[in-house]
Amino acid sequence: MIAASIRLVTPLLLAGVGELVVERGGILNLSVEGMMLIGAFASFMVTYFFGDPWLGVLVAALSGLAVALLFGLLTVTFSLDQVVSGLAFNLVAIGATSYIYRATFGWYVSPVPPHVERLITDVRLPVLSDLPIVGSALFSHNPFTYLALVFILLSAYLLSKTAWGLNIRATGEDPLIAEYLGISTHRIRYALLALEGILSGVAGSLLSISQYNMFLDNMTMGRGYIVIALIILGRWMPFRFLVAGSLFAFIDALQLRIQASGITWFPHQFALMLPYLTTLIALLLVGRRVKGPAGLGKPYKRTR
Amino acid sequence: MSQILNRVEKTINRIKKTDERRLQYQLFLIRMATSLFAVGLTLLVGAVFIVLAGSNPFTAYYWMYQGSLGGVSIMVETLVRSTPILLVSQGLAVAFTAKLWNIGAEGQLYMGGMLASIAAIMLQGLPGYSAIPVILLLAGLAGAFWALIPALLKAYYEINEVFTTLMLNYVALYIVSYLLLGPFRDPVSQFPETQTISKELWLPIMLQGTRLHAGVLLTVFIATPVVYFILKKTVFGMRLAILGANPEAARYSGINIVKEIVLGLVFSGFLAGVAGGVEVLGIQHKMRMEISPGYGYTGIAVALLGYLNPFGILLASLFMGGVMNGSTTMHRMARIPVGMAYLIQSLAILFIMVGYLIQEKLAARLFERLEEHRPA
Amino acid sequence: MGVTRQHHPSFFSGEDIEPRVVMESITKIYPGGVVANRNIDFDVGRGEIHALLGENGAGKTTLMKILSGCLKPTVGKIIVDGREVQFRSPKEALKHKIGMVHQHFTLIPSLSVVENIMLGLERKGPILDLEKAIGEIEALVSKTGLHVDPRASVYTLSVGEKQRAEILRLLYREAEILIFDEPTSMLCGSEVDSLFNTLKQLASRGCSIVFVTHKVKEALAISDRLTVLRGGSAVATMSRSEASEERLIELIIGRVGFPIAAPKVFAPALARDVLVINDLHVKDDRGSLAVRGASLSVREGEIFGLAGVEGNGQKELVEAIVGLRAPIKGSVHLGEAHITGSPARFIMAGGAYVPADRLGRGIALDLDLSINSSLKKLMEKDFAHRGLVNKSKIVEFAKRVVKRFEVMMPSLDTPVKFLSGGNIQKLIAGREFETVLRVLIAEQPTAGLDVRTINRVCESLLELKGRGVSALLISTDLDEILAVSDRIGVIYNGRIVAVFSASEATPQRIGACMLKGEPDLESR
Repeated sequence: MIAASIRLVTPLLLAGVGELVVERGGILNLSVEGMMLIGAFASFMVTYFFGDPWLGVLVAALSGLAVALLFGLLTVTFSLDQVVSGLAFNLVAIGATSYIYRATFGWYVSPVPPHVERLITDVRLPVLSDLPIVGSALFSHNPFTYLALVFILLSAYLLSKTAWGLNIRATGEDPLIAEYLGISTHRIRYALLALEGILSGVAGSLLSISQYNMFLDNMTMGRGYIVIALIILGRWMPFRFLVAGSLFAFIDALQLRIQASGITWFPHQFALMLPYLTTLIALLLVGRRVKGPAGLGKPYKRTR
Repeated sequence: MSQILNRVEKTINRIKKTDERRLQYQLFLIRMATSLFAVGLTLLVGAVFIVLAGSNPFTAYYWMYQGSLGGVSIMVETLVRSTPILLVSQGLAVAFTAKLWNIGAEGQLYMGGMLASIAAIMLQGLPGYSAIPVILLLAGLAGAFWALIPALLKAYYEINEVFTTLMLNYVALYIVSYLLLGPFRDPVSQFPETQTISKELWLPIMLQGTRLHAGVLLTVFIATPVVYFILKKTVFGMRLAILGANPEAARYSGINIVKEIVLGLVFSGFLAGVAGGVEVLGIQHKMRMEISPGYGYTGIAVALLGYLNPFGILLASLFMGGVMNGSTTMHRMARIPVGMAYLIQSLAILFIMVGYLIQEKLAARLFERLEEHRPA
Repeated sequence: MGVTRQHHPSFFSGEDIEPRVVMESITKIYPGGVVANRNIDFDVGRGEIHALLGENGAGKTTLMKILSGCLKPTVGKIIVDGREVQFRSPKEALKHKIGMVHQHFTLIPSLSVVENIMLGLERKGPILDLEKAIGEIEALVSKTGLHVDPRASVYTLSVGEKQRAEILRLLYREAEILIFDEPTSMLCGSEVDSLFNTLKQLASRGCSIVFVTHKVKEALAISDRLTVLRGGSAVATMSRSEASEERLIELIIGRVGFPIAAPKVFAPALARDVLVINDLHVKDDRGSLAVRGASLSVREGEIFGLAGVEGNGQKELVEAIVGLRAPIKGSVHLGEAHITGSPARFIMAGGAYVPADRLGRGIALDLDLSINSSLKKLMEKDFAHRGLVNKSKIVEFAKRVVKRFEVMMPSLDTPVKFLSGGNIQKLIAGREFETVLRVLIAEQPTAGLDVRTINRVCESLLELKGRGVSALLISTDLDEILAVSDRIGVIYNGRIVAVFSASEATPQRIGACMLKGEPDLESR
């Protein structure tokens, strides 16, 4: 169960780290959902046609990057409303991926949907993974899980201990003052978005070529939005986000377990609902009147 | 002498009025232009995707045109297809005016449709003219209720409504799925859908040979003007606009923010629920999982495309309905995947964003030239 | 009337000062055609304190923004240490050791002092060594006497401490030419004295200081030379010995005497109380008690001025009166109505409110002028009958509002955001004056307005009195309050500690009271 939770939480953590730093920089990027979905789609297509899952990951990263930069163009350079832009991108992502998928494979997908043979395999950490019980649960995972944890550590260090982190925080709190002090808010925001794009694209690829071996319409099923909720619950701090994410992953794994266990009296739809309901309830309990960086979500226009 | 002065004053006033009207007219032109620009860009990018699918965009769009506007009965069908989108977006226009981002229209629609089908089954045997309004009302209430939870969360706890409405979308879908596969499954067909509701409870067809049902007329001729009236002519609409423009200013002018938030979101939920009910009673005649190909999301795009103006929304939803209608023909004749419709709809919302930006800049320049020219 | 680039004897040390920074023929024309600076010459020497005087809108801030690198002059040049320079940003100006301490601080509240100081510094590596910086800052603190805790978060600091942090930020970057923009606007009494001590100390260590202010007395107290700007031009520069208060005032205003010539009419002592605030206890945003048992009453037809140093609870008090913030104890009555905690009841009982935060609270930018004018009237029967809006009534009222202070606008349907800042202020003020029925609560009523409009505001206030309408003015600007009030109260630490009648009120008395928290019964 723990192994399952960890596996499930990895994409959330990866995408979440990116979104967290972006939000600390003052941008509310709802298009994480779309970036993940496009990443999932792109990696699947590439792996299907070229047979190499790592190439798929690379393409996923690049496509996430492209979306992120486009989003940056709208929200940073043109200062358009961030919420609506993010939602727009997500809708386009769903439409475009479904469309191209069907255009490629035919619009009535056969009973056995196209699937991929070679997936990203787990990596067993030497020595550690041979420990009884704990070993297989904790230490033999997808390399990206370790990567996610590393990034979380890095982001915590970055934000609190480095000058870059200070600039990021200042940009998120008050971009006007930051600009006045000579910080290039645009450059920082674009850089953060680029990072997020890459991470989210990769996170999405994990869905289609690691957790599953196919692509389904709207695979991400709102996980991008959940990531944002988790960030709120974690008060925009990397380690707390990790905790929130882990708890959520636990619920997610639980829900899958319930479905798989064949308990007939408990409708499986309610199990599927569980993650969303939990997020809702968690927000209700913990997310009241919580404020992020003061400038989060506010369009900022450079006047000079 | 005084007569001359009077005359002069009257002319000056008339000039002032025409000046003001000219301003309004120019603003209107700017808005139309940017909406058209967005639509144009959408079709352009759509053409790219068509090419990607290996077809000729000109042929494809030709068939789309034929399939949406190529004949009276086809146009009627376009109208029919636009109806649920129109109804949902009218409701969203109200919520969005107050900057209440109701992303949960899809879920609210499903709840409305579900309750409508349940009510229709239970009210079997009753005459249509008394039962149908009740069913639609119940559908609306279901949608309203589904929006009430996020509304209260936002009003009292300041929890962002984007997430709450979105999460409830998924929850609603699963609830309906459970009900359709369980207690309300059609005993005859065993499909995940309800049994067909009895004929008296179907929305009457207004035009023989088409699918034009009473719900269409209700939406176009009643709902649209009513929403326009609410937004532009009532204090409620004004309060929503103030709330959307500046919540602090709203509070400071004595507006009860909690009440407005709840009313705004619940109203949009109500209309979304009714949209679900209309689809059940007028088109599907039963409740199914496929009742909505994303009307709740398309409604967002349409509301923005129409600049939150009910009549602009009418035009925008006709556009979307046309796209949907035409895409089946496009699919048949030019082998374009049906998903094209959805793609076009989602591209439209993206480009309307850019359109908003341009519109802002143009309007600003328009006013800059006039600023400081005339005192009161 | 120009400035000669001679050597001037320092008022304090008597030695000759060499000019260090020279601004030559500076002209600044804004895109709209407004000429903010017209051919100004200005210079400051090493170790000199040079005061820049003038009214709001005379061009002082623009000139200093040019010097500090925020703006580029349309014409003219700047010479620092003998070399001509051009600044493209404040950061570049700092490289030439020029820095500005703004009136509204450029500190980020949720960060600590040291983080704010380190922000934007050129650095050798990505690592932030806060400890080392704290050490360096503490050294600076002891050297200059600017006491502030580097580790504290800015939002916890007092106004004086925040200012010291701003100064430290400049000194940390080795600025030697310091511009202070209205530094005493938020300070009072002993804080002003300690600031002046700091300035003198900095000057004696060789810093050049420009002191921008509209307060003549302060300028005379501290500066070696004074320059007066009026209408965008430099009308005079003189040394301290040549300057006198009367002469300076005359130069600043262009005529002798105060801008307001209207006679004061004292409200009869028997008039009823119309606004009664009783034992209010109000919490601020951070949960601590900002208002601790404040009571005051305003009589019918009276103008009551409430003076106090910023941060003594005025903001929370006003919010409680107007209904935007619920008090935890106490009550507010307007006329016979109990209005505590409800903006709607405040408005319906006849109250009007000009907020200090005009743009944030008072106006809906995206909406047009007519809606914004009627913001408070929506609850009235004429305007909204049975839920329907009476458009013609709104338009009619909007026209009156616009006319009151002569708002310039293309049409009533223009969204307010396209108006200039000054016009928006006029609109808000006009709206409240037209809306008020019993009591007008105004925070910093004349801030941001030009002289002509200030006059009209004061006229309007007096006209209100004639109608039997009262006003409660809350301000940190003593001149503003003294000019129109019948009675003046002082708020200190969340309580009303004294109330003076107009005849007893002198600037010294009130100023002392604002600082000490108790009325000084011996007159001076």
